[in-house]
Amino acid sequence: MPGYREKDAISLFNKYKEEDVDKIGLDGLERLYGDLSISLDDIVTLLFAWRLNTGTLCEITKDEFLSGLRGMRVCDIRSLKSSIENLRPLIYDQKNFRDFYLWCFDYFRDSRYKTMDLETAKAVWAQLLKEQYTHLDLWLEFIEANACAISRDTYSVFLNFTWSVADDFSGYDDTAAWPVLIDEFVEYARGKLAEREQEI
Amino acid sequence: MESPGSRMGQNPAQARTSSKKLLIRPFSTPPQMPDEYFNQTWENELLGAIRAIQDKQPVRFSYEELYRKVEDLCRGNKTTQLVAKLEAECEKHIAKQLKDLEDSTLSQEDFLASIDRIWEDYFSELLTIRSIFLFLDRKYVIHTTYEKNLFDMGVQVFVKRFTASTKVMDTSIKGIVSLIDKDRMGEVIDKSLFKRLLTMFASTKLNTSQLEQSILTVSTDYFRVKSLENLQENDIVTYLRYVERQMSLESERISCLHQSTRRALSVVLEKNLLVNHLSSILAKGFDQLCDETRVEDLKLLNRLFGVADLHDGCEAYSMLRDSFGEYVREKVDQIVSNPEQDDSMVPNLLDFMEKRKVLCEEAFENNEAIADFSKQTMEKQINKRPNKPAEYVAKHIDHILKAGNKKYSEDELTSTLDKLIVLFRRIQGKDIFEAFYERDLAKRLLFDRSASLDLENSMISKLKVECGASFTRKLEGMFKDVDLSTDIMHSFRENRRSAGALGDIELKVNVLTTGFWPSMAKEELKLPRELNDCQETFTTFYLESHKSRVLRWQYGNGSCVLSATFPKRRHLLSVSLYQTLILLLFNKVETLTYKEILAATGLSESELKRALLSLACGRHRVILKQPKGKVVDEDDSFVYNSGFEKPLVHLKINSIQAQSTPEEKLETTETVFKERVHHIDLAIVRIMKMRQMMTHSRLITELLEQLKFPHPIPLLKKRIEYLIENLYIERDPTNQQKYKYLA
Repeated sequence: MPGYREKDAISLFNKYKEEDVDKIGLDGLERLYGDLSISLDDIVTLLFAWRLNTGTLCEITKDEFLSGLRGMRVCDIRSLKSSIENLRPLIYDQKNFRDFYLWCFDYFRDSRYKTMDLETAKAVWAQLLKEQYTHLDLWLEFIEANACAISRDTYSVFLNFTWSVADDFSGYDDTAAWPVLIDEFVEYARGKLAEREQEI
Repeated sequence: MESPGSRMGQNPAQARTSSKKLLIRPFSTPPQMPDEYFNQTWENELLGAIRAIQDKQPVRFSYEELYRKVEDLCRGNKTTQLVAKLEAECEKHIAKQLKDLEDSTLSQEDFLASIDRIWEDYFSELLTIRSIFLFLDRKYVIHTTYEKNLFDMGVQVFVKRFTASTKVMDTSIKGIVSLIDKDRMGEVIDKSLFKRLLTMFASTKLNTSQLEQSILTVSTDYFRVKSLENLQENDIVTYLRYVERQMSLESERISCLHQSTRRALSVVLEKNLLVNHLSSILAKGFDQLCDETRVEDLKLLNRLFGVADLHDGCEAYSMLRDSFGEYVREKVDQIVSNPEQDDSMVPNLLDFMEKRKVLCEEAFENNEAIADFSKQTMEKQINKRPNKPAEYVAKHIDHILKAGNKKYSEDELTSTLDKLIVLFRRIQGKDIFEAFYERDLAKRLLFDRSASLDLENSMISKLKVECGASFTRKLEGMFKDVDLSTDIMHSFRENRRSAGALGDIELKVNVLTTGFWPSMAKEELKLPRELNDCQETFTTFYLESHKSRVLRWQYGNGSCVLSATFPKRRHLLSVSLYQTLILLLFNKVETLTYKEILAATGLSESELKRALLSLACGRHRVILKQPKGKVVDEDDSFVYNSGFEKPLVHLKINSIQAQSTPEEKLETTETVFKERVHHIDLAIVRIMKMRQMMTHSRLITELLEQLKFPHPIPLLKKRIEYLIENLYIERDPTNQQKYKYLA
């Protein structure tokens, strides 16, 4: 089994890096994932970025790449691919997923602002919670109409919300510590669900 | 010769000379009356006498003789036998009478009459017999261990035989009960017979428990039915009066019986007439009685409920309290929650408060629970409408302070203001009140609308108590400013008289200290040259004596009197400064468009529109709008109304200026809301800093306690989120419901 050899890792890096800077840019990533036969939409690409703890969206610095590969103990395409594939189950582990999810906020946020803009938030949620939250569509619909930007607090609490509140929102207490945006969402969603029931 | 008892018969002379001692000894055995003598006396004299008395025949011997015979027998120590014989004789007599009665087949009425007669006779016979045997009675009483006397013994005999005969007992009781029944139905009964029978039962202590039971059973059935009938047919007051009447009637009816029976019957009545029907009674018309302030009727209700409340497990007063509370709640809700009735909200509330007070004090006799609960309910319900009550109380006070003595007497005004203060105490959102009061006072002072300085001052002292000195300091400052301004104007005129710098414009300026007065918006108006000159002149004058101060001119509350020369006649127009700016433009030009006026004056669009409306579409149309209409549009133009003519010289076109515009009202409330948000933030930070860590629910509870204005929970949550975002506090990572203070 191949382990980590600095030399190979560096040459792998050099294959995809930008011409005059020591980092893999968008172009290089496209090629990398092409070679890995992983779609750019695949969530594992994000997981990989998370693992490498990349600082900037769609960029991997040399250090990040090398230390990441070192951690995974791979240095060639094939084993890299299987390691990356192995990241996939992590999303099913609550603790890991939570870390990943929170990390995504800072990763995708425009670092000039404290909050994440609405479009980005919607995209992030759409990708991360695709199969995980039943009412994701309602949520995205709702925030489109009712929010301007998403604070870290709201983003973070939202995950707890999807985990702990029932699908029919029974038992939801709007005097508890849930953010007001989520209180309003629950009201909105309840209304929508009732509408759907009536239609049936 | 000596014989027993004869020693005493000795000659006294003999006694002296014999010098023997004289000894007197009692009999060794007391002398006994011979039985013969006893029986004889008894048979011949006494028994006959007794029988004669019992048969209502004349007695052969004189009472005195008989009395002496008895005495003899008593002295002969025949008391026990005598009593026994007497007792036996009485018993025999009464037993026979009762047996005869038993065997007879009389109707119930006759039966009762017979019982009555038997007892009456027995009673009087016993008295007579006792008088004959009086000596026995006295001696008997002294010498025996029983505490009874002859009379009691006689009565006991009666009771014994009466009780022994079940038929007599039952029939008597049934008879009495049926008399009660008949009387209740309204049939005529022999009331004195009835009373006598009851007295018989009571005084002899005959088996009262059986009688009592029967009476109670019959009464329960009767009243259970009657109460429902009455309740259905009658209105609440009639029913209550029926209850009261019944209670006194029934008490009267069995007044001869023992207290415990009377009490038991009262309980039956109270239970069946009141306790079982309390909610129906209240549902029948309690609300209406309160509405119509029927004090006497409510007093009756209160009284009866008080009686019912004494029953175990009956919560009559609680029901009354709850019903009244509900009534109060509903009424206050009606008064307070309909925005279309807002103008009459405060007078209606004052009236209602008065009504509540009267009812609690007079009808419910100051029952603490009722008074407190209704007061609390009223307060709670008033505050269900956030912010508006406070605003309207301020408005109402403004109204009174403007109207003053014109409509009401000084006393009426003072008492109304006092009541308003009481109402004010109940309302949450005092900060809204303060903001509006301040603004209204400003207008009163600047437009000289205060009716009475005394009233204003008394209001301020009352407010000092309610709102604190920091608030009233502002108000007092406002008064001072106005006074000072008068002085300043005086000096100004003195100073400028010779210079005449103002030309023929009379100027009055109020210098207001910022901080005392409500905030006014900054404006950039384009004053015409004449007004600008006035402004400059004054500013220069003022700053001469107050070098370090800065004057900022506020035009919103300014007014002018313009001399307007129309072709047909001259008029004096009282107008606001805004209106003045517009009108002065027409000095140069006959027609102007909306846009031109907007540019020339620098007014805001809303103010401009309002001013143009008042000048062109109101009562006195000094300019005309083209096209005609009631709404001012951007494309309109305005033309000088050369045909303007009115009968009066002096016309007021600025009367609405003294009132608050909707924008001003909104602005006032907005300012207060912003303040509140600020208070909330401060409170949250303060609490969190003190506790360092707190659960969400505890925090909310603390906030609800500390903050004195209405604050819906979503608002609190929003502020918490804001503080989280700005890193004053954070959520506890392990427990989403907890917060931590971030230093």
